[in-house]
Amino acid sequence: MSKDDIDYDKYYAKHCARYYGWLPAGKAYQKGLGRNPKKSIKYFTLCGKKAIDIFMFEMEGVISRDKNRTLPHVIICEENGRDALEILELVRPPQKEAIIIGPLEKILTFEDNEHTRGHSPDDDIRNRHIREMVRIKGLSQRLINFFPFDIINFDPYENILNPDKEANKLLYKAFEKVFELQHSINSFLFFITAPISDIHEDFQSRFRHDFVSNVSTHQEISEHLLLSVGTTEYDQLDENKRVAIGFAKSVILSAAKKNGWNSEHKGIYIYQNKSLRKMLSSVVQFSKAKSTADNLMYVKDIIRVIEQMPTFYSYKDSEKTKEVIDHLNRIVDLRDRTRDEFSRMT
Amino acid sequence: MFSINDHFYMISNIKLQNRGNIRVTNVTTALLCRGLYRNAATAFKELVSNAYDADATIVRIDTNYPEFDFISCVDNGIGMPIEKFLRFFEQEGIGSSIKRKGGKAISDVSQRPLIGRLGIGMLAVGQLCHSFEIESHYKDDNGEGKAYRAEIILEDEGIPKRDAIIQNEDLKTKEIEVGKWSYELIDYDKTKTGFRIYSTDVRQTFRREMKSSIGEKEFTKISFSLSDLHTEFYDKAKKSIRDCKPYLETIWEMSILCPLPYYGEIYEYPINTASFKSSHRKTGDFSKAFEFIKERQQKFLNEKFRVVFDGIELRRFVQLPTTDDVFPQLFFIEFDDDVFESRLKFAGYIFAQIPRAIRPLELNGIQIRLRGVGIGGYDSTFLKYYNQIETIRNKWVSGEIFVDDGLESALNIDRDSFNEHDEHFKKLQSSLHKELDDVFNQIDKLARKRSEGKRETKQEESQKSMQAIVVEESRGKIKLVQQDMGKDKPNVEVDKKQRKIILNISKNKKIDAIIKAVMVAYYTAILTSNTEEQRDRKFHDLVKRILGELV
Repeated sequence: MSKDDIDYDKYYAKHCARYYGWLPAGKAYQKGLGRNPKKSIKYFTLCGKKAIDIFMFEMEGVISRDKNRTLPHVIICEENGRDALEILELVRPPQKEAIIIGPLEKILTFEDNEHTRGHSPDDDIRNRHIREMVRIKGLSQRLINFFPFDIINFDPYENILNPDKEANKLLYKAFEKVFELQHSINSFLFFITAPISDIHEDFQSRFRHDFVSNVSTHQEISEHLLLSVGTTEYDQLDENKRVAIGFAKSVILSAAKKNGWNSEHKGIYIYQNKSLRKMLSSVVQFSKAKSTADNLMYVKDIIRVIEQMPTFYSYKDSEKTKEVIDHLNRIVDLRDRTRDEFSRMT
Repeated sequence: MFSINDHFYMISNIKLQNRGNIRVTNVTTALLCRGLYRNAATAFKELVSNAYDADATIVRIDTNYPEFDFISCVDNGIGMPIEKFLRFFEQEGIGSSIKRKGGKAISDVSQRPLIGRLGIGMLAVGQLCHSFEIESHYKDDNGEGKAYRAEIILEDEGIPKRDAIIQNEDLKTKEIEVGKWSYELIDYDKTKTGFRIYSTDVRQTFRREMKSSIGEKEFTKISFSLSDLHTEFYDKAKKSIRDCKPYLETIWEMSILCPLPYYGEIYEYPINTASFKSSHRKTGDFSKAFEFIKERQQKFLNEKFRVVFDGIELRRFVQLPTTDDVFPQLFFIEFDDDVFESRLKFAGYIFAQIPRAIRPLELNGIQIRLRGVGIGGYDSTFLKYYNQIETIRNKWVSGEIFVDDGLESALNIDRDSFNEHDEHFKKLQSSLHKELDDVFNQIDKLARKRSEGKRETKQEESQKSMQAIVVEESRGKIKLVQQDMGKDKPNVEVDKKQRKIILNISKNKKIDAIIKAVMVAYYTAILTSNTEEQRDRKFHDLVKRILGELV
């Protein structure tokens, strides 16, 4: 099933992750900033063509509009023009900042090469391929200048767990790069979403290897495993649990540690799409690592994942969850009203 | 080594099922593909015209403000069937009109008068970007939903340089490749019915120009509300829309050129009827012109055609008079007859505000509208009207002429100017100029009358103040009176016995008000002084006072 076939306005299973995961974490983060009421949330999102997360946070007061009714501090990245024009139609009035239209993985991992060196994004370039590279260079400079963000919604169309495709390899690099680019902030909230039905064997073996290594080196982890799930054997774990622990340890914590961040998992949500394929969405708050005590925090976070995560939402059950359906409907309504109201404003 | 053809940087994500080269028959057409339009607004206008012809009710244009690195134009019209796309790109080629084949002159659904002519409107976007994608969702002749997506790449590199064309005559007639096209069939999506064009491959010339107009000041100030923009455009501190810089200028021009209703209520826009004297409102010309404007506005409203540019729903911003303290006049012009064996039919209004220039400057002149679409903006030469070149009075005039039949043959390929030797154009020009002769005659009379009236009022006022000064200085012993003494008598006389200073107001006597004032001061000083020294001092004081009042 391609992304074009998904009706995001009725994708309730995904909205469970938003409603039970992203939203409370976003609100809590905002509350944490409460000491400075002037400080508003700076939000980066790969929102997709329906922009539901943006309107959810607006509806819930996590982000707000300015006097001209534009949304300041909201930066959107969209891979292609086709979907960008749908976002432009929905997010009204126009954003304070233009949408960054290009593949995130190329934008965040861009490095100057012989063709782009010396070229500015404002240059007139006849060769189409060089022109495109220089365009990406310009977008890269622009996006990097926006960092750091308070909340990052890393919800790409591509799959960071499948390195067979060049784009996915780059996406993984881009994911790691985020931690590096966030260096000038003390704490931030990160939503990371990936399809998990066909995890690439490289990642599967990495998950397994890291799990075994954790169990053997951290007694607390194996104790909590026994208490929570009654086993320390990787293969005996429930599949969702295996993936949740593997994703937390081998993907998120591994990248965070490399760049000096402590993690606190707020939740891991696994949900099904219409084809019953599974998606995972992690909600993690990061704070700057300061001392050796950080290793304890790392173990603590793994234990938290073992004990409390993931939460699973089936496609079928989510269609019966009234509060989620109502919530998503209200968001869609707000989005459509905003667009219409703006037309009337003019 | 990194190859630029590496798929990493391949731009198209279309699975290319069908592809081809875009060929044109000669270098002239090739050059047209690179840019035919005067500016961004006229290029956008072409896309809007296409949407209008396709019976769209809404067309949305976005530039990804404030970066301007993306252009999209989405309409909800009937779409372009793949057969037409192929005819355009594969078979007949660019420049072959498809809209009017079979003598068709109105659109299928809304019966709108067709604006398009040459079938090159889609390439208008080529002036703003190097390559673009299109997507069309439509119902075929059997009512079945169809859709396709295509990519058009315009390559400047294939077009010979101008010097080469001059040196090599053969190049002029040689078939030239100006780019590539490809398409794939996709699933029909009812919600996307219509035509959409989008591009991230924006020409830097466009982007730089737009970005240059959004400085820090504008960025924090700019509002996406039409009423705020209206205030901005009619800001008295600005003479011209150019003061608003290119981005807002583009919005202004789009709103003026597109076939859209006027902004605001009919009694206020485009002509504020309350600013006219009731006597003028009763004239035949005023009634005809106003009724005509009302009828046009209703027609535009009935068409329900909307253009949304970067989220702003455009309306035609015309507000006349453009300032208070003027004496407004409204005239009506119409014509309906055969010219050169085909019908030419037009009507319109001409507005004048005496004695102030129209602001913004861009509203001064005559706007010709062909089937509702503005051609070339307001022409401040009034189609080369030679009787009022460079006079102040022609700055007071603004008007619109709507051509409902004919004149199309006069339209140049850019659809933004006219062939001035076309018979229909010539007729329009001469009719307009004839009307302008009358208009300017009336303006002249009214302006003269107004300035005479003003002069008389001023004279009366200065007379009164002179009299007050004379009475005060003489403690009521000397009178200042006006009397027609005939042209042979002096301007000012003194009757010592009656202790009167008489101003000669003979109509045949022309005298400067200052000289008169000096003479009154002189005689008052003589009549109220006992010594020469006193007289000199009084004269000096009186001159200062009377002239002070006068000036």
